[in-house]
Amino acid sequence: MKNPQLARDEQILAIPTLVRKIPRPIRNIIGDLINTERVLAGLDIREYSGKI
Amino acid sequence: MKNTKAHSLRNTLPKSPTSIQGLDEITGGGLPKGRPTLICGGAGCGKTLFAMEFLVRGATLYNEPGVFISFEETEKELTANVASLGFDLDNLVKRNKIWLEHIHIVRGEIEQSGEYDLEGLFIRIHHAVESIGAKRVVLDTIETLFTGLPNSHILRSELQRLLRWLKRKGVTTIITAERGEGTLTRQGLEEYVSDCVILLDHRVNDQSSIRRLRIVKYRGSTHGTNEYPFLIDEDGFSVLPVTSLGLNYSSSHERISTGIPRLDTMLSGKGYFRNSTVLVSGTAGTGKTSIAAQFVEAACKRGERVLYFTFEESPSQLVRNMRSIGINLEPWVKKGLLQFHAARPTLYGLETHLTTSIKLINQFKPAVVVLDPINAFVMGENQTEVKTMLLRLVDYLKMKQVTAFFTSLSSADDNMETTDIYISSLIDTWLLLRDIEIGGERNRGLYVLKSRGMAHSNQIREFRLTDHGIELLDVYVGAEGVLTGSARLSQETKDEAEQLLRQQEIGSKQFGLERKRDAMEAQIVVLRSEFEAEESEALKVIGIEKARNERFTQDKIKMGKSRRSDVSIKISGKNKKKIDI
Repeated sequence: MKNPQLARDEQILAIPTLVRKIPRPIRNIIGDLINTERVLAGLDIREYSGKI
Repeated sequence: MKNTKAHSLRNTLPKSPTSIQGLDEITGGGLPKGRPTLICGGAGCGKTLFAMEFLVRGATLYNEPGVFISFEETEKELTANVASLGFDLDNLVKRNKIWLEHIHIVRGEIEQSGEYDLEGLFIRIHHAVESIGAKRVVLDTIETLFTGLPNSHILRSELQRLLRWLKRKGVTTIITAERGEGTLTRQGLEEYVSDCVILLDHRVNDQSSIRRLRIVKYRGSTHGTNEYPFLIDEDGFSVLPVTSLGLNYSSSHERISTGIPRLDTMLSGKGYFRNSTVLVSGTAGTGKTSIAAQFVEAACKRGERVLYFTFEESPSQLVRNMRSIGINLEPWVKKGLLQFHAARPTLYGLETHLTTSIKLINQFKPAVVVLDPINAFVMGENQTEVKTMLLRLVDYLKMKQVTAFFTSLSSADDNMETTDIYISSLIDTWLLLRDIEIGGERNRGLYVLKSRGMAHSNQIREFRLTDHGIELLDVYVGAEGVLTGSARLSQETKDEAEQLLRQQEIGSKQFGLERKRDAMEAQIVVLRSEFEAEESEALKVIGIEKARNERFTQDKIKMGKSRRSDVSIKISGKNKKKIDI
């Protein structure tokens, strides 16, 4: 583990976690992102689906 | 793991002392070392505080640094919350004794997409433990994960993995959990934490709150199984394991004065036993507090420390009232020998009273403790609880070699001897004060109902409050029964008058006798003089007769001589001699 402190700083609990910091509010998506629809819905970026 | 378990079962399980007052006694040394312990209970029952105290004590007293993972409060909030208990978390954190970490979980911020695990949490705990070399870990309250994270199946298995992992690391862990309905915890965490489960409870009975603690299970160790009252105050947690005390305290042969000389006499001349339990019961206004005050004064005069719990009067009122009967307690307060502690019994629950009492006793270390009155606690149907509390207190006081003095207010229409029956078995010396109502006045009577281990008086004494303290008087016991007060006085004067009358009668009888004797003597004198007169008269007659006889004989002789008859002269001569003699 290179930087365990980062887990604290970023409030990471679950692995894997995807964090959307900008735009606010912060969004966390946990899991292996197997369900793309939910990921996109979770990130509120359904229209920019290609970005991920 | 198996080996250590088998080994530890035979010996005692290694334990991690909590240093929470009383808890180490009922757990036989603390929480299981290197294993997880579940603390469960409802909201506001003190779970977080329990866990925090465990960490802080470990860090400060046993050099076991601790990690506090908080799922609810932030580091700042935690520090502020426990500062009121005297824990300086900032300082401990700076010195790497305590590691605080807040894990932020907000429902709705987290979406799930596919499988995940809690490796992030593992990493954070691991990092914290490694950073300060922690031996103790607290997870408060891990159930928050269930509300914040989706998919409880994953969470459950991850929790199980976490606990195993913590066990493997050998850190002593506390996991707190909310109590569920019908179950110990909402999420059934007790299934995973099988080593030690402690239940905290916060109840409200008759408007007063009671905190209790129970060890639900403690694998591999004997433990107290009762519900133990506990207290959270400015010194943190304290548990009262007083029922674990046995009846094995040593008892003193020393006797101490009651402060009332005649009461000492009634108690076979020497007063109470040291570290015995004395109860004075009586109806309102019979002078229970006065007897207590007299005893307190006597103890202070001997230089002993006295702790006085007053539940009805304020200390200043009590001091003032006692001054009116010539007992001045103020100097002893100033000298620091006497300490008052006043509290309305309704102010706290019984346990809080008990725990505060015990704490005060521990601090002040008195030789005498007064509780005035004990039945102020009895409200409604809680007599058994009061008894349990008093039993604990009495046991504790006996263990500490303290003489306990209780007063108890009985109601007038009850039979006084049965009103206090619920605590009778705890009491060594029981004095009963009662009103005796005769002739339109109330007077006080005192008697010793029981006094273990001494030949005490069985007499009722009249009990008077004078301006120089308490006085005991003999009651009047006569043909008209037991009399007190002015009835006694009037009876006594009546008696005195009767006695005087009798004395007078005797006097006059004696006088009459004397006079009779005098009269008799006088008669004797008269008789004697009469006799004497008669006697002299008789002697005179006899003399005359003799003289006549003589003369007659002389005449005969003369006549004989003149007739010359010799024989008759000789005979006559003989006769003459006889008469002369």
